Amino acid sequence: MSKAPKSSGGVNRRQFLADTAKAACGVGAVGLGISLYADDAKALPATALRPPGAGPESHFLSACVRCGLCVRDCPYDTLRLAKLGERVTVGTPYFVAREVPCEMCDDIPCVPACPTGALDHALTDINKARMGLAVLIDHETCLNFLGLRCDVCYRVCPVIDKAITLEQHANLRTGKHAMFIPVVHSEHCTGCGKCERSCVLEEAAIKVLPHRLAKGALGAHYRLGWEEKAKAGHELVPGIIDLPDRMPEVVR
Amino acid sequence: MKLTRRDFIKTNAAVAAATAAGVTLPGINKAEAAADGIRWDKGVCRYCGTGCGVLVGTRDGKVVASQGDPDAPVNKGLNCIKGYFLPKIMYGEDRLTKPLLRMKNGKFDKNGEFAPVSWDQAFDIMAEKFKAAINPEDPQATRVGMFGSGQWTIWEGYAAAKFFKAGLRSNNIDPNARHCMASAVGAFMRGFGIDEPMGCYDDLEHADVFVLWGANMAEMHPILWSRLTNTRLTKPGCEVHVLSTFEHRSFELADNGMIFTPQSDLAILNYIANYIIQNKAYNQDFIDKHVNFNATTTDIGYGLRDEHPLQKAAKNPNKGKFNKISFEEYAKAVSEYTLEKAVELSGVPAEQLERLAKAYADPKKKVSSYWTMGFNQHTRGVWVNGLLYNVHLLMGKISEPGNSPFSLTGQPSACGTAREVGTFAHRLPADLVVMNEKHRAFAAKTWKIPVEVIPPKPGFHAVLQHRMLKDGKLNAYWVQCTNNMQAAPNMNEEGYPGYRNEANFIVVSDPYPTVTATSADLILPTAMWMEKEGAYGNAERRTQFWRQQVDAPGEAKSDIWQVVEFSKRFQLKDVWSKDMIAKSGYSADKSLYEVLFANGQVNKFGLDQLQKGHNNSESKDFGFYLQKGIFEEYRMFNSAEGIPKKGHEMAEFEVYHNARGLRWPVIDGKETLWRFREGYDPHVKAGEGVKFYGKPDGKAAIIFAPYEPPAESPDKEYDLWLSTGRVLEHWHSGSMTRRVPELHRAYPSAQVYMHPDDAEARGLKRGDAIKISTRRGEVLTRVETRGRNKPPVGLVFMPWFDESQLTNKLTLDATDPLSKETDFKKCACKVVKA
Amino acid sequence: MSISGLVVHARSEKLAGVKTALEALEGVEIHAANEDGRLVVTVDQLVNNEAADTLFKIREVDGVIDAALVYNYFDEDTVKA
Repeated sequence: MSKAPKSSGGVNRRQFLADTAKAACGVGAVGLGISLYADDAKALPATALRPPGAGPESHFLSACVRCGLCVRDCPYDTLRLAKLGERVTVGTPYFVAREVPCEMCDDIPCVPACPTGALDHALTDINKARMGLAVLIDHETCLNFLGLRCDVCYRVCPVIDKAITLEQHANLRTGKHAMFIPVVHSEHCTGCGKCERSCVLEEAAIKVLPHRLAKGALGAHYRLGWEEKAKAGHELVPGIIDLPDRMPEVVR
Repeated sequence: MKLTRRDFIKTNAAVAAATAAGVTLPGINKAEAAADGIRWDKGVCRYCGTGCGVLVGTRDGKVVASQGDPDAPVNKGLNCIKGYFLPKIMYGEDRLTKPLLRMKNGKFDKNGEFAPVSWDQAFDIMAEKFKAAINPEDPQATRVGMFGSGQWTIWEGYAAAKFFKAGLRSNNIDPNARHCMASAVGAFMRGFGIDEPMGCYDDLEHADVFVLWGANMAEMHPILWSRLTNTRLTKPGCEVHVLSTFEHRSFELADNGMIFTPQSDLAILNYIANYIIQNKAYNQDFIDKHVNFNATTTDIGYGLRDEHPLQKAAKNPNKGKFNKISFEEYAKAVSEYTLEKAVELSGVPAEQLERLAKAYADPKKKVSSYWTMGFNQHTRGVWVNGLLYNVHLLMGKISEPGNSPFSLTGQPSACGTAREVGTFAHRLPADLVVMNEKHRAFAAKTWKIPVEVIPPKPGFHAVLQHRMLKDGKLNAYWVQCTNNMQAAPNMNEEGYPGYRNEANFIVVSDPYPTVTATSADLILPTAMWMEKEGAYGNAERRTQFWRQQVDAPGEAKSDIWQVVEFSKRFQLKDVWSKDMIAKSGYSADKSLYEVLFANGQVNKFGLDQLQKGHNNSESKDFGFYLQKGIFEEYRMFNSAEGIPKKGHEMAEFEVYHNARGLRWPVIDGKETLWRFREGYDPHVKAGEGVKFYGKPDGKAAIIFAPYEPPAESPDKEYDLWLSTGRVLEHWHSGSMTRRVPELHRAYPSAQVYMHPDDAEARGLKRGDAIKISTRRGEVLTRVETRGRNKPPVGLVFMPWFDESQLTNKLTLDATDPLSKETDFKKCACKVVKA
Repeated sequence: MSISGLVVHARSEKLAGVKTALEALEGVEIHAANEDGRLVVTVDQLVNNEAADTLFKIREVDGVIDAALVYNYFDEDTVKA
């Protein structure tokens, strides 16, 4: 039986991860004196996800003391420590969703194991973890976009119907089937990676990415009119009038 | 060779790139390259009863590609995720390629290790064991049996049934469809006198209201579900009602989703009938012309062993007799099932039940009801199927576009093979039964054998086979095309002890070393799917053929080859009494092969008629077109002049090779979409309107049946309901889908779905290792409190595809006493931290 | 083995240089080139990862705007053979 070709080499080289600015202050904290690997710290690969409760990468890198206790307490061997030669800062914990995703333990054992607060001890509800965000990257190969009935990503989602929902559309080609389009909702997705892990394609069409890569951001100046109105409970500019339109009698 | 292939691929790569860029390539013949060496031919999906059409791509003797057939009417080019990976099921790393026999010191030993043997050696020991279990002069002493499959091709099922019933004189042959469809069959025969649905998949576009009764179509019939969903989305006023004992993916689309207490579906259906009568909503004209009323015998037990206390307590164990009553008596019987009583028994809120009843009772709404294992795997499965027909018949909502009570099937040929060619312990081809003297006489005449050869009593059904193996009353046993050790209930107490009983010799034919195969004494390596010419019949009566695309690996041989070749090992004097042989006019030395297959009918068509450009391994071995001969002999049962039962007519063999599947009855070159209705069904004459011609009086039977409790309910010690079933990613026991790495990764291990409150009460966290146990066995697994299935408090759900967690160590072998189908949906269990 | 079909977009004024540079890469074969800078290229490699390397090398060639993978054939058997 043919195995899916290992993609590790090719993907890493694509380096769609060059987020140098964010990791900049982490470099100083490396402190291992191996300048050879210092560059790697700048570029945390997009596939490397931090444990639950990890803050922004710069903060995490400065707080993490590379003790490995979170890795030790992970019951599913999801977490691992970056070794020399990997593209992740040496000694820091991470996981790769496509290989072993986070099982979202109710008691989050990795978090209390952290002696420094690099993993935020205030995180006690795993649903509030934000390890990354699932993104359905490829609409061209996703089987559900083609009308097939896969939706494996949806059914394996531990937060099914909240973090991933299926939106139903008519399949215009067949005329008699529906398409079930997976949609990720960032307010519920924990980034556990179950969806990416289980995607049946040779290269996953859905991937968990760090929030900084996955999320767009509205301009700070712009508000959603319908939401602001609902929030306020009334029109934001009160007292605006409207004159009646003149209409023929029959229509009235 | 390697070089040219490389160049060839390179050319394709260049052509693909050039096409994408709109660049002309100099010096390349595009047409040649576009063919990329792949031969495409039509096929049928190997899994469920939907019957999706696929196109199979073959190159260099290997299936290398597949696609949904864009012109197949069922799926229009779509597949579910299992269908997407179809080619991979044939290429698992542990494919069996040689017969394997348990041996010690070079000889068969029940406790030996499996070692490769030749086909000759395999058939030698097998024939010895089968002959030892047959006494030609005393059929009572015959202790041979076979377990077959709704995944057999049509001719495989026919050949096996004929070999046993007309050759070995045993009716101890039964298919795995017994676990799956038997209750549906029972209700079809009782209600309509003829098997299989009156409607078809086109109802999915015609109905206004859909009701799912114990069917999770979203996962189990994904392509049909996408058709249903499309109708719900695009048709104004369309609504979907879903009933189940736990919340599953189909609830996502439900306008009215109802979780009911297990077994209370009986009460809900009687309530709906009562509602229709109380509100005088019934179709008086239809009832007067096309329906008669009956009441069934009650207190019928639970299909357990006779000595079981529940069987002893039953007043009328296993009785299926029903008697005519008047409409008034029927109305009185259902009047007990008030809304209050239905709410009390089911736990479903009153307004939801009422909404459902109104949908059925509204004469302007077309209603299609679908069900699968929730109805069929039920200790009152035949009853509950019938109660739904009652509702449709009261309203006359049947046998027309959109008004359709529709029994879905779980296997690709549960209909086409298991049911239609007579592989059940009580059946003969085309709805004939062994108990009927005229049917036996017709079969014997067609098969050119003395009528005495066919035993008049039904043989051992699926569950009974395991009991008889354990009791040593069934000693030579052959399993083909199914993984019944994993699939059958109560494996610890019945199945496994039966297989390992020293008195028995067990043969299992399979492409892979399944739990069943490794529990056997002899394993026969089997050709599968596109490695043989085949035919399946799906749930909407659609018969679909395919040609052999590739050869099987190693020495693997198809099921039909195995049966036909093995028949050469028996002479008439080994199996028939002297009287029978004398009456037959055959010489006592004649082999069963000559009598059953080289009989002037089955061997009528020469090799010159084989499908051009395709191999046919079996036919080339035997020297005649085996599949065509079998199919044309089968047509003598369903399409010839003077057949005992009309309604199953099929077209000639070659027509199916040229078509994308045809829905029977096929008469005058036309398919039948809706049966029993004038204009649609050629058996209904002009002016008759509707005629249920399976019954002598042309009327369907409304049969009252009451609510009766389940066989086993939770108590203090075993305090949870256990329901078992499937997941979308895996099919049945996982023997194929678990060998597809992508599907394995998508759903690697079984787990127990549990309500978070139940988990908390037991001190369990999501993902904890647990021990789930019943009075019959225990399984170690993990608990899941999130995800796709959301059971109510008090019920857990566990899928059974995972051979490392054998769910059927837990289940109870209680069956419907009428259909003999196991209730895999209800027993009592407990869960503790492991 | 791994065989890929690519469409390479190059700056038309640098087409000649691009062609020379591509042909120098191992396993690369140019099947067609348009004057507007589109090239049809196949990459033939024994190991899949090397194909990815070559793909990146193509992108780095001076004058190449983009290289898009259109067709990929991957065959494990031939690697063993």
